[in-house]
Amino acid sequence: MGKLDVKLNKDAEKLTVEMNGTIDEDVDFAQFDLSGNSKIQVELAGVKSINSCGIREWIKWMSTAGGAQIVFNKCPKVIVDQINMVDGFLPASGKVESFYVPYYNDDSGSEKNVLFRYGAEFSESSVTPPENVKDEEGNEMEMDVIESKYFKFIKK
Amino acid sequence: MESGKSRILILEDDETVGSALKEILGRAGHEVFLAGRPDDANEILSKNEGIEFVFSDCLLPQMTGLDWVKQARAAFPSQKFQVILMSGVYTDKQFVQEATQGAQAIAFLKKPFEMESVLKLVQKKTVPKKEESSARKVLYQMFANPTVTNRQKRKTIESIEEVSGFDLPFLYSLLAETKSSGYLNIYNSDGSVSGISFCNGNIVGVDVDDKTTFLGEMLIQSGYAIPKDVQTALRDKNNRRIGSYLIQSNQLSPHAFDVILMEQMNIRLVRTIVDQKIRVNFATAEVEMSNPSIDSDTLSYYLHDWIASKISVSWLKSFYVMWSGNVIVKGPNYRDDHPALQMSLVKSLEVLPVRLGNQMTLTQLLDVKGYSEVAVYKAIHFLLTKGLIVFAQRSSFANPQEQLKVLKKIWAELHGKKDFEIVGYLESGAMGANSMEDAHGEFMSLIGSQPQDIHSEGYTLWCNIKKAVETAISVSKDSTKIESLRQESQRSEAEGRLKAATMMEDVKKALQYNQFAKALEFLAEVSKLNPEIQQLHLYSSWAKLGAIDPAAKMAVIKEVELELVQVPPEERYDALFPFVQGMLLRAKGDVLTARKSFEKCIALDPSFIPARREISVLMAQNKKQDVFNMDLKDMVTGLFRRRS
Repeated sequence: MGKLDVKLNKDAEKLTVEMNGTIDEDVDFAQFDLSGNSKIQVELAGVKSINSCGIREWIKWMSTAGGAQIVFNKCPKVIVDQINMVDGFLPASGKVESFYVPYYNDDSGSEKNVLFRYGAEFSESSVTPPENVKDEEGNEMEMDVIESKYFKFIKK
Repeated sequence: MESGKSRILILEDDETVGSALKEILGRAGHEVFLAGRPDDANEILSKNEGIEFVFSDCLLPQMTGLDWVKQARAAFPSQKFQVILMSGVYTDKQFVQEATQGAQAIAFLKKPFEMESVLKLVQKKTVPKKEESSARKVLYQMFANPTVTNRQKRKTIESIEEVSGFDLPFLYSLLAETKSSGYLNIYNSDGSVSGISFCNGNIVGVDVDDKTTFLGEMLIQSGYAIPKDVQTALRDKNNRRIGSYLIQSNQLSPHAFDVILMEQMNIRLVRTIVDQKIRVNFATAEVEMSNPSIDSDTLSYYLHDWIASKISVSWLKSFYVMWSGNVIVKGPNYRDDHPALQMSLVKSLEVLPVRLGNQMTLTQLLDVKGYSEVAVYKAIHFLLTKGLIVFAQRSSFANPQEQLKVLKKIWAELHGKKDFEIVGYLESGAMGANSMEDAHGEFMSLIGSQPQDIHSEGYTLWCNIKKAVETAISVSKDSTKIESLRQESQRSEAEGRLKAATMMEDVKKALQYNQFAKALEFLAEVSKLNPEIQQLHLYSSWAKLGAIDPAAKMAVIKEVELELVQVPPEERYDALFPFVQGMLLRAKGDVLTARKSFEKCIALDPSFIPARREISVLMAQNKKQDVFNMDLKDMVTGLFRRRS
């Protein structure tokens, strides 16, 4: 088994792709056919990391989806970073439905990923972060990203 | 505006609330304007540029706060303010949400509000700016903290919008020295992505677009394989890779091949070190160890090499503008027996380690007699990259003479430069600064306060510098003008490059005919037109060694040695490199090794006539010498041997 585990599940409505692991030079996306689907839902919560080879493979793979409407769910930070940095990483017909935002508490050092959902914490042009994010000990946490950079893709 | 402080407009018809808000924000150091009506607010916006925050009440005398925000954004598009809405009346959840979205507000304050939360709101938006303005400085100071965490590294790297490809050696070193594991992705301006993989501080993978291998040349150059074997391997019909072919046919040891593969990684890393703006992202990840890999010790040699050969002095000069007045101190990685202190750039500066303990600034080091400017910038950059030194507090000028020295150096850099070039100079020195105003502020603090004696040279220089910088910044605001100037300069640079390339052909011809003085004249012109032209250092070394005056031999040898450390790795796999090395060795009197170098040159390029000529000269000299040294019997036999 490679470093990336990809599960495809096709029903009448859509193709669901669930990914877990690392996207790097060892990935062989060719075996996961995206063509012929009108809607594709990609679940990314389990993606741990992606390197430059992985980015190139991803872009090639996504282009095989044709005009399918692609929805990305639970994008971890490593994916959001690529969406913000690399043109074409998010296909033209792609849409981020939800993504994680890292939070941090300076005093306790606690870290937490908070899911931002379309329509709730963000929309096409704005972000409304949850008012209070607390760690397990009840400490107030702060967003651990540079907002202007991290939320750039929302206004793309 | 002072970093971290903002220009704020309050639009509030309730005088008590407005005045209290103004007082609190003003006390915190912000510049605050108060308007009671939309008309007044418009007037303030029309007269005061750079309003960063607007606090607006939702219920106003002439219109709603929401409507006013919309019209103000349309009427004053250059004002990029952020909006905070306030209301004591409309506070239900749906209204708050709709109004916030409609006004694209960053917050909605329900009255009465805590003044602390107001300050936090403004502070929250200004703190990242403050961080960003010094992000690059923070990056280069990371070694000052011996216990830097992964999070701190990631945050610092993230906080920089853009870096130069010339900043990458530092990033590689930082990630190696702090035993990082993960992927450093590099986003180039042409849209391509490169990546470096780290495993516990070792570089285990280098992925770049240009995958030229130089494998055959490397094997021959290093002496691991002879040209014939490499040719056979390349012709191999089974299409096996050259390395496996040579290993399987017992012509190369696996260890030797690993060494070559490491060198190949080095060449690929070198390809990332370019004078272009890039963006980077580092994500920690579990990366598997693989062989070969570049560990921290090997990386030291490569860093030394890259800084010597790839990073231009002009870039270093701009970069060190921000540090020139700071005291250099030994960093936590410093130890007297650190191998980095034995490397040629550092060794070329006499007693540099001692001077590093003397609280000197870079400007003072540049003034040390016998120190070459190139060597000082490069050695200091190498030591900073290795974390052996850090810059401590800025020393204020001890006396007017010291300030004068700094002013003279800066003026020498700026004088005669076009406005956009001055802007570029400020930008590369303070890359990562939030705005040109911030870069300007940092620059002005660097040159110190205005000298008091209006008749002094320092006063005149200070005023000249200030004027040049301010004019350039003001011109830079006119994007059309700056673009046309940039294009004009690019055209003239392109012409210069073309002329340099043509002149380089004349250099080659002159060298072929041993016209070394003529070649040196051409080379002086070429280096003015395009100092980055390929093989400049090699041809220059060839000409210098060819024209060597026995009386000044040692000085020329030293000069050529400094030239050769500046030859980029990718130029070392050409026949010219071993040829010039041979010339240098011959000048040093090491005839045997010189001959080997000439032979390597011919192995790489059999048509390289000057190398054949040098071998013939060496052989002739050898023969001549032999007449006096050989046995009498051999000599007599030789004299009477029949010629075939």
